[in-house]
Formats: sequence, structure tokens, C-alpha cells
Amino acid sequence: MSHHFLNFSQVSYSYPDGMSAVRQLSLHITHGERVALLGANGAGKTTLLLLAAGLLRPTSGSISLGGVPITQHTMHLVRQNVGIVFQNPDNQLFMPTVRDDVAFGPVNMGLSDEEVARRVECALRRVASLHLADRSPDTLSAGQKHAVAIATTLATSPNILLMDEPSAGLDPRARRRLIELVRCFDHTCIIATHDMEMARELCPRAIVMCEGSALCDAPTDAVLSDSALLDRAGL
Amino acid sequence: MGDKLLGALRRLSLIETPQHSPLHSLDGRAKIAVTLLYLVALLSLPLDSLAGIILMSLVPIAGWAVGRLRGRTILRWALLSLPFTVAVGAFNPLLDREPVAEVAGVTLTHGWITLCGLILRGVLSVSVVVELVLSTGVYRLCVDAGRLGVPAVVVALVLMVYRYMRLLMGEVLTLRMAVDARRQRRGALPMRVWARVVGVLLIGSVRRARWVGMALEARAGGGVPRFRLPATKWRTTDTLFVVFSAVVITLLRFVDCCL
Amino acid sequence: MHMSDALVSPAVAVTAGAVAVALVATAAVRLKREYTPHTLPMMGVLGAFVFAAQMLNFAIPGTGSSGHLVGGVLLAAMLGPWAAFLTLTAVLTLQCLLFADGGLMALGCNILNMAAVSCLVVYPLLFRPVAGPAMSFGRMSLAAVVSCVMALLLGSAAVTLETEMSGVTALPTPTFLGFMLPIHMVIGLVEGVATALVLGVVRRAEPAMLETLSRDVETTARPARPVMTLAVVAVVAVACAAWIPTVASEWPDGLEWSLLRTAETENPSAEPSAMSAAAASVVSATALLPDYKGALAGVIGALILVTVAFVVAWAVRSPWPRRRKRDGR
Repeated sequence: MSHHFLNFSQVSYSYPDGMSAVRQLSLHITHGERVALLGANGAGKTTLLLLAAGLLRPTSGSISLGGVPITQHTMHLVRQNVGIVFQNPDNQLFMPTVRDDVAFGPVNMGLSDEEVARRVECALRRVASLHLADRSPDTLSAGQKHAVAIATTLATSPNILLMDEPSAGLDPRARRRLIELVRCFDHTCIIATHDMEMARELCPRAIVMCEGSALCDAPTDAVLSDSALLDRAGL
Repeated sequence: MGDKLLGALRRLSLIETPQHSPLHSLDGRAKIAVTLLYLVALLSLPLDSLAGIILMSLVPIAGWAVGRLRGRTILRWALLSLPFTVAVGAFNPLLDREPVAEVAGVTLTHGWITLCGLILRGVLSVSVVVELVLSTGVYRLCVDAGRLGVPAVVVALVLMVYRYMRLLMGEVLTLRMAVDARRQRRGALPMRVWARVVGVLLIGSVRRARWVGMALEARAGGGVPRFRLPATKWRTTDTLFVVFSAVVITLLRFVDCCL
Repeated sequence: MHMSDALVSPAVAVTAGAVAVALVATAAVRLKREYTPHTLPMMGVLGAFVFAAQMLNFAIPGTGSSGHLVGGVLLAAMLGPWAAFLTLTAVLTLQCLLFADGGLMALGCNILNMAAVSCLVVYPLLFRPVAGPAMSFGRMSLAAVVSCVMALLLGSAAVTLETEMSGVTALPTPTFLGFMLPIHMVIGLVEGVATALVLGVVRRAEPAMLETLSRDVETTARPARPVMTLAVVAVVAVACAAWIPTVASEWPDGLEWSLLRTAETENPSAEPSAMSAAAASVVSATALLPDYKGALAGVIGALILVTVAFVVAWAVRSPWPRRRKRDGR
């Protein structure tokens, strides 16, 4: 089914203090695609992801999910279909135990206790973190926190997965595990990253952002071999 | 002052160290009920019935034994909580000079008796709470308090403060080390420097809170979030424990009246 | 200013607890009405901030000592009265459980003395009117200092009253207040300056973080009532003014009284003054005067029993289990 596509149409966003983060951005991502979002710090990658997740409302332009424009009234659709993993897992793991964190999404979808328990186990198993279920997020290492943060999103069974710098701060083994994990996903994925190698391995398509607009939207290999482009984008 | 921070962090990790004992396996609600009953009994004893107060110490001693807890830790934390109590009670021997007994040529006044009673009361009341926390853990304690009637929102709030406490203390430690690296002297910070550090910490905390808010919104939407905390099973052992403890505490409380 | 369980009687503790519970319930209901996804995380993270900030001491200039922030007024300036009240309640609960800072029975008292006074009384009635809607640096700093002083004065007065009502101290109330109020006034001044400095840093960097400046004018709950504020200030000022001379004259009276009592037992024929007669009746009504021989026997017996129990407990307890290394790190 190809109805889980994401469409940005001339989207602009400025922060309350006036700083413009995204300028007239248009893009179309179809179901099952894996897209790498490249760009220097401050290029607007995080803002774009937050807009796609419905956590920020564009100051102009429109975003639609499967043809349905994202508004206040359609927010529940976004929540059901889009999952976002933040750059800093400590900001995502706010419950007292890992189990409670992963269960939080399903519980708030109104699912029964058995279904919630099943989803929690399933999600933790996928990220190989079932043994951490009763630990406090406080006590986990960076790699473990990242894995559990991904599990919290997987538990809601989203169709589109947004990831903000997922490999930042991970040691080589944890990074490898992350890459293998994402490779197994059949979700639509948008991954904002500085990790060019991971982008090349996982994402056939790359969008390069610079100062809020998309410089280029092309196959990853082409993008990564264009040094002039990378230079302009500050990479 | 880094010691204060490190001491606090050390205490927190001690509380979280997993342990096992018959006391640990009892339901938190039972332990909370017994603790409160004990405190009411202890605090209802007049300050000068020293015999009664001393007898009440049998309960924390039993808790220490059954819970296989570290006596030194309990005692140390209990003594550390005393200063203000002692400051208040210190006036009793000065003002209440009524003689009560003569022991080995020394006249004991009522004031000294009540001061001793006060200190003992302080040590015992803190000991049972420490034992409650060490044998239950903060998470279980909050969840069980929620089952006893505390609103879920309050329980979630307490647990969230607890969750982020160590993280933010770690941030303070880092900020502190950065500041210390540039100073000649150690110890308390000059107020302007202190204000800037705390201000930075505060602004950073608000920013972090906004991110957490977005994480919450992404998984729960805009309405009041639901917190489903794990269920606890009440067993016969728990009922027996509560009944037995209630009987013992009542006996201890009233025994000196009967004698 | 945390009260330990030793200082409260069950009656005081339960009464204070009931009031505290009612306030917490009210706060929970109010917050549900104004709820946004950011409400709970803001309270939780700032509650954790309070703990972290209290670990950092500042040097009090001119003295050799140091102090730390308590944070009631600061929190209220960031979160608003009810959210700050709930946050401080959570902080006080954790302080009681984790650091034995304040007793479990006395938690109700501590919530009232520290959280309720600073967030629900002083902040709306004093800080907001003094700081004004625009909150210029000068007015904000003045508001911070005045609020902290008042919060600590009221809070310490409450501690005094609760301790006196619990009957644990022989100090007469005016004397007790005479100690507590001046000391806490100074502590309040220091805390006020510290709060003002931190608020200044926040105001300069991110003014929208302060709740007064981020509130919409239309959704302002209740307008500030300067008259009520002035009334509160006036009452407390008059009370302080009245107490200081009373304390000054009470202290010799207090000593006199206890000296008189001792004198009386030695000289039963001496004519008791009205003061000492009254004092004597109070003492006989409240204190137990058991046969001291019996009481002594009771104490020794209890000590023996407890020592035996202690030894038995020590023997019965299994050896302290070795701490297992944490896995996965």
C-alpha cells in the first residue's frame, strides 16, 4: 500500500525568536523509502523532522501524510503513523523504568494490558534489550539508551520512522547493531545524520540541506561523490 | 562542596542497589502501613517515658535483622538528620530544671529526660523510614503509594523528578569541575559566579523539559497522558505481616502503662 | 527548616497532613484544567533542577559561611503558583525519603511551611504585585528579596507554632519565635539575593521562561491585589515589632521562672508570686511526675531487653551479601 507518503509543500518555519529554520521546502517521500538527511549543524534537519512529526506547526506551507493535510484535527493520524527518535535519548526516556517507557506509547493508544505487554516485549526484543526491561534509564549506557529509545517508538507500530542523528556518540559495535537494525525495518525512514558511511549503507536517497532549504535531492552515491556540493553544504 | 554532591550521588546508588531478604519481598503497601502505624505509636508516647521509647526501638532492630540491611548506614543517616531537633531540644535542660532522679550523685532533671526522649525519637523515626526506602526502593514505594490513593499524576511527577535527579546532578558536577578548573580556591562559589552557573543550569533544564514535552506529545498526544503503573500482588504473607506488626507495635506502645 | 518526626505530635502531623492533601488535590485538579504536554515534564525536570541546584553552595560575602538555594520563589516565578507547589511537594517527598530531610509524618507540615507558604501565599500576594506585569530588573529583584524574606518568616513562624503545639519543647513560644524569626529573616535576605541573581540571568537570556512574562493578558487568572499584600506585610511587620520587645523582656522572665521554681522546692514557705504559681500549675498539668525510682527501673529494664534483642538480631541476620557487579557496563 503506498498511502503512507509524506509531502512537504513550500513549508517554512521560523522559531518564536525570529530565527528562520526552514525555508520554502518541498519534498515528497513515498512509502518504504529510506532517505538520508544531510547537512551541517543548524541547517534545519532537526526542524524538518519535528515538522514531519507534527510537533511543530509550519508558519507557512502545508505538510500532508498520505494525502491528508496535518492540522490540529488530524494530529491523531500523525501520532499513529509517525514515530520520532530524538538525538538525545535522555529526553525521550522520561519514565522510571525501561518497560514503562516502552509501554507509554501503547498505553496512551488505549490498548489493553495484554496487548501493551506484548508490544513491549516485541519492541524490546527487536532492539535486543529485553534484559534491560526493569532497569531505570538512568543506569543505562549511551548505546543501551539509544536502543531503548528506538524501542519506545517501535512499540507504537509507526509506518514512518524519523531518526535524528541515531549513531551520534555510539561506539563501533553499537553503531553496527544500529545499522543492522535499521536495515531490517520495512518502515519509511528519514534519517538525519552526519555519518556518511551509514547514509551510504542504508539510504539509497539523500537530501542535502543548507540554511533551511534543500540544496539537492538525489541518489546518495551521487551526492556523496559530489565534493563541490558537499563543500557548499558545509560538510 | 563537591563532597555534598558526591555524597548525595553515593547515597542514591546505595538506595538503588538490588538486594534480597524477607523484608524486601513484602508488598510495599504493607510496609507503608506498618511504618505509619509505628510512627503514630512512637510519636504519641510522651517525651519523658524513656522506657517506652527505648522499647519501641525493637521494631527498627527487627527490620534491620529481617531486611539484612546495613546498620551503620541506617544509623548514620538517622544521626545526620538530628541537628535541628537537637537545637530545639537543647533548651529543655536549660529551662526545665525539675529534678526527676538521682543517679550516682548526679541529679537528672526533667529537661534532660525530654531531650533524650527527643533525640531517641528522632533516631527511631528516621530509622524506620530509611528501612522502608531501602527495603522497597523508590519506584516500588511510589507505585504502591499510588495504589493506596495518591493521585497518578503526583506519583508520575515524583518518579520523573527522581528519574532526572541524577542526570542533572551530573550536569552540576560537570559545570562545577569546569568552574573549579579556572579558580585558584576551592569551596563555595562567589555569588555572581554561582548565579551564572545556576542560571545556565536552569535554562538548560527548561530547554530539556521542552524536549521531554515533545517526546511525551509524540507518544501521547495533546491530552492528559495516561500512566499505567505495574500492578502489585497482595499475598497472605503481607496480611500476616501487617497484623503481626500491628499487634507488636500496640503492645510495645502500651506496655509501660500496664506495668 | 525541615521538621523531623521527632518534633511533631500525631495530632499536629495529621492535621497538617490533611490540609496538605487538600491543597495537593486542588493543585492536581487545577493543573488538569490547564494541562499541556509540557506541564508535567516542566515540573519534573525543574524539580530535579532544584535538587541539583541545592548541591551547589555560594559564599555569603562578609561571613565565612556558605548557603544554598531552597528555590520556592524561584520555582513559582518559572512555573506559576500551583505547578510550583506540586513540584516542591514532590521535591520535599523525595528529600524525606532519600535524604531523611524532614520526617514522613511531618511531611504535611513541611509541605505547608515550605511549599504552600512560598508558592501559594507569598508568590501571588507579594512577588507578583511587587514585580509588576512588566517585571523590570529592579522590581523583580526587589520582589525576589521581599518574597524570600516573607516566605521564610512565615515558614519559620509556622515551624515554631507546630513545634509548640506538639509539646516537645520547654521554650515558651515568644522566646522560640524570638530565635527563629531574626535568623530566618537573615536567611531569607540571602536567599532573596540569590534568587534575584538567578532570575536576572534567566531574564536576560530567555525572558519568556518566566511565567509572568509568558502569560497571556486575557488568561490572567486573578488580578494582583495590592491591598491584600499590604495588609499581610503590615500585620507581619507589626507582629515582629511587638514581639521583639516582648522577647527582650520575656527572656529574663523565663530564667526567673525556672529559678523561682528551683527556689520554691528548697523554700516551700516562700510566698509564690502569681507568675510562678501559674507556671507551676502549667507544669503539673502537662508533665508526668512518676515515682523516679520506678521510672529508672523501667528504663534499665527496657535497655536490657533491647540489648538482648539486638544481640539476637545480630546473630540471626545472615552475613551481608556481597554486592554483585552490575551487568552490561
